[in-house]
Amino acid sequence: MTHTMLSDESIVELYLARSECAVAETKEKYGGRLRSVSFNIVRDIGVSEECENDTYLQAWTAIPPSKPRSYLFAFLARIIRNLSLNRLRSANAKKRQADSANYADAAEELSDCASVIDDTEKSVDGIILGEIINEFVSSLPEESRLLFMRRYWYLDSVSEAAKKLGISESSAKVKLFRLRERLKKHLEKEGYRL
Amino acid sequence: MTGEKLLDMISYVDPDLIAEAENPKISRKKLPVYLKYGALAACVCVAVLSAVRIGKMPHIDAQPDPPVTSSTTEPLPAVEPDPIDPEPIAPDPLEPAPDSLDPEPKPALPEGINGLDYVLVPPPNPSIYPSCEFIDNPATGGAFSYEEFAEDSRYMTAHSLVRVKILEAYTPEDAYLITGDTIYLENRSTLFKAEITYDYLHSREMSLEINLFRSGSGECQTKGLPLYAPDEEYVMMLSESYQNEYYPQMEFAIHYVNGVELAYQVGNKYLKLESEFVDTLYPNLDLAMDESERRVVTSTPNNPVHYTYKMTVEDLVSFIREDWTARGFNFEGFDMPDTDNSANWYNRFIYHNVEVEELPKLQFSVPSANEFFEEYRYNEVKEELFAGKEGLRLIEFEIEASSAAEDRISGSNDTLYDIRILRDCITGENTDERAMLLHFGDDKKQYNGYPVFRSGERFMAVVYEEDGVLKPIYDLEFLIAESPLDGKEYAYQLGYFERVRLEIDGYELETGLGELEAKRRGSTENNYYWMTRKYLPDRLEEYLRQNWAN
Repeated sequence: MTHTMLSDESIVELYLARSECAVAETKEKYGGRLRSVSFNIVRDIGVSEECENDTYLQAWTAIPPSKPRSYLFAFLARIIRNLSLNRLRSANAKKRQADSANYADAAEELSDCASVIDDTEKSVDGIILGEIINEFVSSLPEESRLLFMRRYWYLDSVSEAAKKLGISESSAKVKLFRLRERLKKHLEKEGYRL
Repeated sequence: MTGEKLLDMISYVDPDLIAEAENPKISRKKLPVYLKYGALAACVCVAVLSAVRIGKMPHIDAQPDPPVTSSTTEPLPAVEPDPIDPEPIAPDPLEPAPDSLDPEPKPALPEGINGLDYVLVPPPNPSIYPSCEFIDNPATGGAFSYEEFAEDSRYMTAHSLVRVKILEAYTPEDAYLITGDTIYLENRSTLFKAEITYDYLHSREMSLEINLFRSGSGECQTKGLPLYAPDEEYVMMLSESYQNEYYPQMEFAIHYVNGVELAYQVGNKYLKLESEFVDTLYPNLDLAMDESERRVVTSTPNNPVHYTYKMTVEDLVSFIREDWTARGFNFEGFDMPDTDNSANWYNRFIYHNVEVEELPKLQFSVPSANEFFEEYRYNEVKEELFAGKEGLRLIEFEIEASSAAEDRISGSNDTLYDIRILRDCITGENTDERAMLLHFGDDKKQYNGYPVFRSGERFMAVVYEEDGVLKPIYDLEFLIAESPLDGKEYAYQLGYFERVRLEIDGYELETGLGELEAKRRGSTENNYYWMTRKYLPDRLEEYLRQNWAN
């Protein structure tokens, strides 16, 4: 007998009802995709599985009060991304082997944009900054938006992102360069200036 | 704030954006039509030419120049099975031996190289390792399919497809001194000195000595995987250098048979070269093999090498290039500056570590066609582009002995070149006129993507005359160069950013720029040519000429 996957809304209702089936249903529906998000960052199957399990735990804790009925995947993906980034940083801090080339490259690429933000005196309001970045990404043309997201949210390598969008790597590099320039200007315009 | 913190902040973008980008619409990168048919045509040409050659030559071909392997093509008796190890190496049970069970008929090659009328011959003085232990261990840790290998390669920082000639084996002590790795003292691995003679991804000859890792030693070897022998040649995919040594990811022994270079896949796994990314038909990737070709004595009669697949070098290289290009691999990685300390590497460049700056931004009265990328249409901006420039010409020229010209650097980061004008592209006439060209860029500062030109390089460009010298219009300057993809000449528009775009409406002018072509080594170590677009030279010339007339 085939098991039909529940809708996001139904899964969230399970969480709200504190039903343990919520985790099983989430795993069945989104487990693979979440592992994929994590693996893209940590490049280690075992670690990505651990992050996946931690994600379910965090989701269990966060719902309620959160009720991500219409954006469950994005909600979970955001959790696993943060967990994976933390794992990667932790592994690097302990000088363990970690293939973090994509992450390190992406962070390095963004360092110039980040340099316009002065966070030495608690002047950065994380929520407002998040909104400004969101506004920037939302304003981009579709291809640029996807490219930006693949590279800096999903942490694809440039070649992976280019392939997913069907463009050449050189073109992707140029476009990303310009996107970063634009982001920097956007941040400066919004008052994030040294 | 650091880039890491900014990455964290990006986490909080709108959920819709996250979901949208999870599976972006994939339009698989297709190779340009010209490449597909070009490659097909090339295959046909090679087949026909080879057939003609073989028809004219005696059955046994002379060794080519340079000699390719220690094996010859003389029809000597087949290699006898090794008395110590008479059992053939068992193939992977999951995959049938390619030509014994494959119901598909093998494609035809020119007569005489299809595996049935020649044998590979052992070298004259193979080493004997009387006390060597031969381990029957197929679990060498490598990929189990080409697809797996290719996908794993995505995470390598360097990609290469090179021709390698084995020079000699280091002693374990020397290997340890070179690499600092004690593995060589344990007699389980051997370090070889080898030379990369050709880089297939960038279509360039090389002469670069490297250190090559090989599992096994005189005391312990894997069955079917003997040590390398001096003068053997391989097509290899090498991973990034580690501790001054390279690891072959896949290797193909080269043998020259009746006028055709054949590549035999080394190893006891069957890594058939097939990929959903390759559209071109390569008929000579899986040629029929005689039993005498499957086990061949190379460095030692105790341990014949095991060959699994046989193909022409040409098809092997073309397949890999097409596949890796379609997968979007970055071939830039294998430049080996970290390991190649030879004068060789250094002498490839005229200048080192120049300051690189961007070309000045273009400003026209018309709005840019693509606001985001600040790209203008040629037809809309040409009047402004050409305004105030006297003596405009469209010429094809070659840089002559530029070293003398470099001495006449004007002091404003310009270089004055002696050029030979080969053609006036407006009249279509060939010329042999000498002139001087003043161009930005010198040993201290250059535009990004515009290294100082080297003598012998050819360009098509719109130039104008000022102060007795020619000056280029940077947006209409094209490097005429062979494509590493198909070996044909194209006109590559230079510049790191997309700028003035030539109209293509109703005109087959622009062709797809392959990954391999986007950057090209020029004269300066840290400033390669950047190509923004690629054109068919004759169509480009025709287009500009017609446009000029209007």
